Amino acid sequence: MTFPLGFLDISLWLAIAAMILLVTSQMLSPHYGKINIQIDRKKLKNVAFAISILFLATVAMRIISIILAQ
Amino acid sequence: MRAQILYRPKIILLSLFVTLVMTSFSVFFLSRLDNIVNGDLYGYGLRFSYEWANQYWNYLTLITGFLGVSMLITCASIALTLPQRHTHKIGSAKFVTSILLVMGILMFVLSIFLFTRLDNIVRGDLYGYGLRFSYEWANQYWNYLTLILGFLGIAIGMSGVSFVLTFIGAPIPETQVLPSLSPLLRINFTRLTFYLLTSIGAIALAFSINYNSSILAFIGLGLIFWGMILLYIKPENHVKENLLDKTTLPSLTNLNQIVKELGYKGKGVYLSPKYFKGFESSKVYINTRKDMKLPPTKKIQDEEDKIFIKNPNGILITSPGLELKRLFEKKLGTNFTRVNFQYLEQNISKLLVEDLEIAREVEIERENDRVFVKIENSIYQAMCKEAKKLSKIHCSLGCPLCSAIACALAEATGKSVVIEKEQTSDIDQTTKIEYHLLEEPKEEQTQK
Repeated sequence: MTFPLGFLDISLWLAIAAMILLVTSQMLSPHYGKINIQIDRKKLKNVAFAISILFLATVAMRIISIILAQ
Repeated sequence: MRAQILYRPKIILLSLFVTLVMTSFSVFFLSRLDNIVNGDLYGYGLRFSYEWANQYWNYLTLITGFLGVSMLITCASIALTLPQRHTHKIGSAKFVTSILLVMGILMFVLSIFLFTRLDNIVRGDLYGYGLRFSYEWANQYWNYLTLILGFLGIAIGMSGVSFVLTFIGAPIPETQVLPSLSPLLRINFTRLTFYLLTSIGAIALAFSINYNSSILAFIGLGLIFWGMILLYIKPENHVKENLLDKTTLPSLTNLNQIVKELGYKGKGVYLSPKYFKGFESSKVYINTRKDMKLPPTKKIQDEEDKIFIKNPNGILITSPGLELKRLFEKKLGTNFTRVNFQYLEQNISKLLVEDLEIAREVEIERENDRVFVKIENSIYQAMCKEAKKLSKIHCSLGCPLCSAIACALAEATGKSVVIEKEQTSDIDQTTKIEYHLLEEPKEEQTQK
């Protein structure tokens, strides 16, 4: 029983999640949003940045591993 | 007291949505299972024959058909429940929705029954047509089989919940407000969605590890992630901008009326912290005469808790922006009495624009004893405009935002502050305020 996703899969997942969150946090309007779904844009932006940093970290790890392998 | 099940359209809608998603997953995994039977198994010695194929196709078509019909039924139920999500009244749609849901559950049960028959063909009959057993195809086949049955089970459960709530659920009485419901029945929609998403995500992740399925792992990760996000990004309660104006203006109007009728003609002076014992108060002094002569510091300190001050006669009132100023301090994590003007100049823009989101842009500039503040697109714009009609508020006490900035200035500079000008422009949506920092009078002069 192993976790089916590899390092690159997680990296890709993080990239897509970061993009979706960043675009959403920029496009959300605090004035004309759907009232029932309240979203704190600032928190969303923080999550987007955190996910982006995680993605960049996976990229950096990949680059380092490629350099070390040579 | 007997617990009563109430009609909750939002929970019903959520259950129906989950049912729809689960059915879609079942159809998807059914197609993957069919790919194994109609493709991979020929590599393990299976010979094609209409004898088994006709029966297999019949079952497959029937299962797909039943699942398709149940998806349509779920969609119809959603369409019937959707209009009731705000009214919480069941109406005539109750019986139609209930019948549809029962039909949907029957379709699911029939699908499961047919699915077991289809499984019998694969795991029994096909060995008679040359199929060799191998864990390579069998593991994958079993994984899909378990997933389909699991998803259909969840779909039946969710449809059952919807049926129970629709058929048995009593309408919420008009007079009954949500907070008076028992805690068990008081359901937070966002929290419920969080629990649902994360639990389904966790199940999917567990399945993914067990069955080595990357698709399930992605689904699980996604669901857990969005569930967490949903809980985290929930904001503090937001109110509409116009509510702010409607609730604050009457107090300002009253204050204006009181000051006017009591005959206080002077301008409001935001007193510096030295006038108060605790340095925490933020009060405005208005003189009976038009001049801005302030009483001695000691006198105000002694009569800090009083409203009316005598000799010279004046009124000492709490500034309209005091609480807003306290909020500024809380957000900045400091007290304005501990900082200087430079600190305020550097931080006020970030505070109002990014932290509190009450303006789009803020500029602050100091020229000797004058401080100019330009606020663009503030949520207090309409209120400042309305406050113009109130003679004792406009250019004296100011709207809550102007007042809060005056309080902050008085504390940061250590000087008493007067609002000299206050202009609002509808064209560029700006409010320009000019503050005057008063030179503190020497005690000997004021006491004379």
